Amino acid sequence: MLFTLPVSLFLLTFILFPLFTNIRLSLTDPTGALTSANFAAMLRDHTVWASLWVTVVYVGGSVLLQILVGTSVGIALDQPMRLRGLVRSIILVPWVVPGIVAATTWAWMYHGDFGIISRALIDLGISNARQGLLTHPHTVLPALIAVNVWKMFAFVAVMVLAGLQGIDITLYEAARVDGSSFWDELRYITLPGIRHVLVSILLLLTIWGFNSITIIYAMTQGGPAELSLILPLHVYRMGFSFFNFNAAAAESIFLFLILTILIAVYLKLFTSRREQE
Amino acid sequence: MARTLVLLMCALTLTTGLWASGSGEPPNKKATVTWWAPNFNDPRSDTLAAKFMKDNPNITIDVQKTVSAGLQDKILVAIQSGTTPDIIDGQLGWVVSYAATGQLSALDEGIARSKSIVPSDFVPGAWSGMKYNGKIYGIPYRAESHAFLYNKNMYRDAGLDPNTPPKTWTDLLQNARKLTKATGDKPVYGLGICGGGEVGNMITLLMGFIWMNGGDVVSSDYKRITINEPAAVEAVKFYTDLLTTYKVAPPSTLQNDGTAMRNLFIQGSIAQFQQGSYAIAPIHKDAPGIELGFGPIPAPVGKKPASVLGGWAYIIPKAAPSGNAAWSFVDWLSQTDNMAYYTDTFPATNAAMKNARFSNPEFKAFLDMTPYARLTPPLKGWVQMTSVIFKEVQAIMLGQKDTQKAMDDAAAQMTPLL
Repeated sequence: MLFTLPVSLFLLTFILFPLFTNIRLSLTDPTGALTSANFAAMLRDHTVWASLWVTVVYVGGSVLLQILVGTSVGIALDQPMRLRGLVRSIILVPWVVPGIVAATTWAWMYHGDFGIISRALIDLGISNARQGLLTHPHTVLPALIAVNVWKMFAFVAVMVLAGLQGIDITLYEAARVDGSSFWDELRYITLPGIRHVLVSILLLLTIWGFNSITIIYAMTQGGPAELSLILPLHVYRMGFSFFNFNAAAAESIFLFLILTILIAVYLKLFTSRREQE
Repeated sequence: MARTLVLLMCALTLTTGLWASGSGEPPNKKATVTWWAPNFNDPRSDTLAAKFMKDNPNITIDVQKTVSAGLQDKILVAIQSGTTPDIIDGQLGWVVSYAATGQLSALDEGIARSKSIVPSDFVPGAWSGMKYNGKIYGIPYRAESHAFLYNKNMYRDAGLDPNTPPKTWTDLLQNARKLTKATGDKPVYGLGICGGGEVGNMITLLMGFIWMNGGDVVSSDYKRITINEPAAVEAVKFYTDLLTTYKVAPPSTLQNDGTAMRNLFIQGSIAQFQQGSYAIAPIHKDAPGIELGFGPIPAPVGKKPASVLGGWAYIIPKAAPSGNAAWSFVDWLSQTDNMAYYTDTFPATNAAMKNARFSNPEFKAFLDMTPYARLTPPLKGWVQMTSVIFKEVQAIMLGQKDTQKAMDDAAAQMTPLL
């Protein structure tokens, strides 16, 4: 039993203790008295629900595009080509650049007056407004999603590339003998072959997406007018800008429950199918 | 054996005697004063400490440099914990909230005896901000305000007199319109305002507009939110109209905070804006060709200017181990020359403002604005309230709501925070 002590201590200190402290904070008021007011106030708070919707849109959009772009790039990089090794290294740059550095640079590129993206849009005749993509209600979330996809697609590509190595090459040869096209191969061999990779990535990207505030914090701080405020960022603000730790704890428990339900749904959907095969 | 015993007894008596005579704080005993000074006052804090220690060999000043991040909370925790330094440098706006905890020493007695502290000579907004329940809890040493800056070259090009900055909202708008050239390859806008980025920057500008128009965010007894009352709404409407209706502010306003505005001014994209004296050096450095003009902040016709007062003060916690020595040091620091030397921007007394360090004519407009500057309300939920105001003003700028509705919504969200 003693050999479980290090792991138990670690779990206790870094996982259980913070979790229970958080639960305790959410159920008490600043003086320490037990109360359900934090949860009641949270459910009535319009900002919480608005930011939850923004989170769904932001995470949903990001994950979808991250997987689409990443898988395409991964499959493309599996084809033989010159300088393949170099290309594979270059695509990793967005992923390894520190989040804050990337986000701040993108924010300046998007700026109405200083940004090269705005400049390019105006010169190409697509837009004549110098408002900047990050401050227009219709373009702020797509602009942020674009940065999120840029940051993470390489991760998907690398995972997909690894998964592709596990597909038996004789399958392709047999298919080619039967006269299949590239799209047939993609649909019947490649994609099913990397399905398990995609399922894991989907889960990871969703959880990371829900917890990531770096990009939005650095680029729009949740603005304009809280149109890009995701729930995790609101929790952070509540706790560390407004110092209302009890409300922040209640909201973080809410977020935690949502994520738990999501994960349960994922596992049910994707593992049960696998077991049926 | 007996000899050792006697020797031991002597030693014991001697130490006990010394120890007994050292209890309490007799004036001829050495005292150590711990001073939490901000890192931006380095090395002036060390120099002053050394000078004081030379003239007062009984007192040792231990200077501990603090950083801005999380400082407000750090001080609160320290004074409530019972283990505190002797002197703390804090922002003017924090003092009342610290005094409300009951953990600060009231300084009235020391002030009455002091030869260097003359209450009537202090910047009015700064001195009144130190009062809580009729007593004084801090001694200001630094007070600063925004002023109005403009590009004289652009004034000439637009046919305006470069030596006459606007004094009223009417003149401000008129000048801004003449200076705006929105079409062409390099558009220029007449006025920069904050619409994004750092929440505090927009609030600093907006509070000035609201106060100048005779309104306020909260009633004088701090019991009612008044941001949706006519005077305040009118001010917010004028502020946002500069972007939405009159279009004298650049379209990128929703992304711009104070730093972005200064960069736009340096680039020659805006002709006028409002900021603190820290803007002067970067503008001269990055745009030496711009001839800088200064003026008071324009106010509505017939009304006085107003702006947010920034600054710092010394506080002494009740639990300070060397409170008496700490007070003598604060008294010494408040002497005119020392205050003039220590402050990073401007000092908090008229006497210190006469020091040669502030004689640069470019500082005049900033010094002249200081008597009109006020502190923001010392409310517990102020930071969260500023976030609400920020969001609603952005909603107005986006055209999502009209001003009255936005301010009504703001008031609805701010009232529970009172």
